[in-house]
Amino acid sequence: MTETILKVEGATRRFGGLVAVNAVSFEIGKGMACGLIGPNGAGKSTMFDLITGVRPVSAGDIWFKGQRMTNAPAHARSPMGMARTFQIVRLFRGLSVLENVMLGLHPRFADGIIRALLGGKARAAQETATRARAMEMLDFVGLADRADARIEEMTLGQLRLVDIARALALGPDLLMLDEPAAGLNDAETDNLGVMLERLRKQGLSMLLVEHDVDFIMNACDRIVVMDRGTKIADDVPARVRTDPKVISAYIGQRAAHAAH
Amino acid sequence: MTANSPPRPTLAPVIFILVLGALLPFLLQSGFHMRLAMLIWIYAILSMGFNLLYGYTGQISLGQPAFYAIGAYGFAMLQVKLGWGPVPSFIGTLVVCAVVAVLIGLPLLRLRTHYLAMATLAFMLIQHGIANRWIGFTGGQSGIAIVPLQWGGETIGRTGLYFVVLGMAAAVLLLHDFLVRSHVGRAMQAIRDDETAAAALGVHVVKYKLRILVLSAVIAGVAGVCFTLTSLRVDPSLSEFHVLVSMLTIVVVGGLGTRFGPILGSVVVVLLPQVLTGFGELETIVYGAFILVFLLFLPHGLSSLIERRDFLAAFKARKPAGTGKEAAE
Repeated sequence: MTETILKVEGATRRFGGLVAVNAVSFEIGKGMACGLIGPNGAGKSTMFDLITGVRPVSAGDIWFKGQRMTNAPAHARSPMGMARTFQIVRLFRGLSVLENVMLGLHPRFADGIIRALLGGKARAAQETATRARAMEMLDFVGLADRADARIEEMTLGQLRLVDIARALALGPDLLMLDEPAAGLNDAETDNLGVMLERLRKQGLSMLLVEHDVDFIMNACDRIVVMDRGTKIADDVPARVRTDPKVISAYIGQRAAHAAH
Repeated sequence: MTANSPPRPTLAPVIFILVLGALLPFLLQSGFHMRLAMLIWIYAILSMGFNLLYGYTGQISLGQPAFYAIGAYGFAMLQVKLGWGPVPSFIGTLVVCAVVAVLIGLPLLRLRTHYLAMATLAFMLIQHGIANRWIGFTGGQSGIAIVPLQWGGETIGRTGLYFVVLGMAAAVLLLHDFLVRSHVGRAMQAIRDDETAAAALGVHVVKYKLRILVLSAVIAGVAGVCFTLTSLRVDPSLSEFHVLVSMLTIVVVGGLGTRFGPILGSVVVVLLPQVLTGFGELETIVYGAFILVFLLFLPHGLSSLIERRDFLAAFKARKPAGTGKEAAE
């Protein structure tokens, strides 16, 4: 049994009377690529928000690298080694591509304005190192020549890669990707797949939330399936693909769509 | 091999502005012109604080004129009522501004956009009410007068005073420029553009907002102290709406969230009415028309003309960039 990176224990989230996530538990081992799938409204995005701390859990616990993270605020999770990207790309429009990636390294700087002012040479050296590291990350995703570009000058496929570069900058222990293939064309999706395969080979632990079932079956070692807030399957891709509960959840939804 | 990173902005334009500022007293002859020059610096200081808060961090606080007035009143009252010297009064005033900013920032920074604007505007009205009506404490309409700044037993002349104001403006300009070019500036802009994403990257959003609110209040306080130093009198007109309107006009005309917008805007807002006095009764209308033209043709302010190294190239490149944006939507 490999070391556990992330452990979700009975995570529950209620919105008034609606239970969006109902006592879901799963684990991600070190170096594992885990997929989280499910039909629309299954609670995937809410689950993602609970793990990243965007929303608090109503009940249950989140453990990361053996530490209880349940009540840690969102901004405290990135310095601990948890990095994420966003489904709707959330890059900072007022900053250049390079500056966006540099923000991924923000926790390396001493906190506070006065400390920044008194930082002197150490701060200047950190700034230089941050620039170099951010350029390295852009180079990794193949966008080093676009470092000075503005966000609105980039295509969606490029923006996703910038988002990934930003998330990777701190050297996280767990990379969480929220629907990274959403809205991408085939060529861009293939390019993304190659990128994720490279990261997986480097031994990075990943959690992917995805709509595109084919994409996730290829990219992951293990798949957690959610339907209407509960976990209905948690297995290797080959067995999840043939699981009757999973098939009926997806087909049930298709039937519901057809009825409209 | 990693590609070279794009060049970083340099300190050269800051030094250019300060050298120009230091040469002004030798170019201007009349006392009136010197007063205008000092007023430009005072408004520039006030607007740099607001630019950090609104232009870079996206927090629209309309309470800045109140901190400007607290700075001016504090400096006068600590000298007149407690008999403190100018330097302790200056430091004491800034401490007062910082403490008041923390007290109003803790509850108010939970609010966003126009709610924050309304709440901070209410704070300004309260401050104005106190300055106006609590006559025993603030002197009411007649305000408080102070003695001129002295050095070695002699009153400092107009040129000396100009350099005191310039020194303050230089300190604020260097601080403003350092912050916006550092990781602090990146964090501020991240909060402005997307708080959730900023927090996900480890930026402590609440702490940063409060820090910047306190800093901008202290900077407004510095502007207020400069005002008292030059006018030798404080009265409730300090925090009337015209100050707020001037400050907003400066940042918009100069360029919100730009390095030199507040200074360019201050030059325009202080000098334009002087240039337009020839229009007589039509002055206000022509002034308003000028501002409209600015907003229509330069929505990103004067700085957008200057800070773009390749303005024409950027303009031409707009078409292909537009198609990229469509794909992103």
